[in-house]
Amino acid sequence: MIPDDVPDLPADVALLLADAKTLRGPSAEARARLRSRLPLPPPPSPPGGGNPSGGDAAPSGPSPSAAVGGASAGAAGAASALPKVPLWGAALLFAAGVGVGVFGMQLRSDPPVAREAASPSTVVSALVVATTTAVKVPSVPSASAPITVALADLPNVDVAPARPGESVKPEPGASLAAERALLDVARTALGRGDGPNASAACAEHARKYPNGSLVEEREAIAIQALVLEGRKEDATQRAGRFRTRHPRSILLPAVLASVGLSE
Amino acid sequence: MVPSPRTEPDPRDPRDAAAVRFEAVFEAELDYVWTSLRRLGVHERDIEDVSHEVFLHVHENLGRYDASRPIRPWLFAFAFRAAADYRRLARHRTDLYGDDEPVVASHTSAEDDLARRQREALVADALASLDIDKRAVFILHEIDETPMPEVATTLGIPLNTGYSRLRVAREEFAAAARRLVKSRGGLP
Repeated sequence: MIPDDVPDLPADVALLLADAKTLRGPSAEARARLRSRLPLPPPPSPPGGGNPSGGDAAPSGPSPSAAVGGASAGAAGAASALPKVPLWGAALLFAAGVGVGVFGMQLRSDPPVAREAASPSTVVSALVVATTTAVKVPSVPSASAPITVALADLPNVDVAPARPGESVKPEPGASLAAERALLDVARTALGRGDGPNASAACAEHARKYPNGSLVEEREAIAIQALVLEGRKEDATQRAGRFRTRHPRSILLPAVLASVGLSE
Repeated sequence: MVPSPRTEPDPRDPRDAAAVRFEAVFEAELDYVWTSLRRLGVHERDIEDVSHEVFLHVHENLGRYDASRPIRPWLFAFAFRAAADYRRLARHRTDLYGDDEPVVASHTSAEDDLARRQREALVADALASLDIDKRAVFILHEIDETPMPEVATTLGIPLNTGYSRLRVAREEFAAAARRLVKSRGGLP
């Protein structure tokens, strides 16, 4: 409780601060440069050539800055002539997913990008992770025929319905690499603004790895995918469940910001 | 013989778990750190270098981060110290926030963008009138909406000191903002 001798800001001045809450981060180039100077995995080589360093997750020293150009997942099967999307704010990177580093979505002389601090309509993920790993996911139509995935059809965060012959239990020795590859597909779809395919990849992850290591990351991507699809209410509900289940997640601020909630 | 490097992070390995966590923090919160440094008076051309310093400190200290506390105030503390060091260098004394302000991607009209940017610049200029200690309290509480007890913990100051700085910061910011609005012929 603020003491009485600390007067409130005048209303007209407080109104000014609304615009000041926007986060203005670095350009994609500056982000990539900074990343290369930090003890972080190097970004992958551009698709179609160069050193396939995507699988090397060992931290390294300064490395060449991220390659330019659009990046796409190796084998999502859903690549299509999607219109390029503007550079969205990057707010989420998922813990195990990115040994291969980060690509800018569309590089020009990218200026910093403003992101609303709590705008429900703002897509927060700008990361497109290139991977040369071929990942087979259920056949996903191109964006011209988007999938509609009802929230009720998506597996629960913690437990997915078992298929006949399958049991739902922790997957001892489950491949972290395979989980991450699936989420890379989801993240890549998200990065190009393809909500339906991002949701589909998340649903696949939830089905295969209901108790996997990257459940938090999957949920964060899934929530953003719902926002992209315009399913704000579903996204908000799922974000609420995320907050309940992962109250200390480092991804929580960005998840809540994507649906306009605060901690 | 040098063992070949592991190509996959092993979350059971505390070193790899830390690397994975640091990467997540970097990607999720770079915008926040970058913006905070700008608000604290670091010039646009220097933010990249100062951000680098901040994240190096974050990397060193991430193992000591108390997950029961929100992460942004914790990060802000590193940004604050880096900005304070930066401002102590004589050549960086002038607050030049707003110089080289880049074009912002936006879906609103050009007029709306211009008005918003003018308001943002006005706020930035009003912030520049505060010394860094008061500015930090003001940013954390008024802009980042951090409760005052957390503000005090973040900045390592007694709560009463925090309230005192907030009171003065509000007065000074309001005076500066109104002065700027008047000098610019009204609110954009």
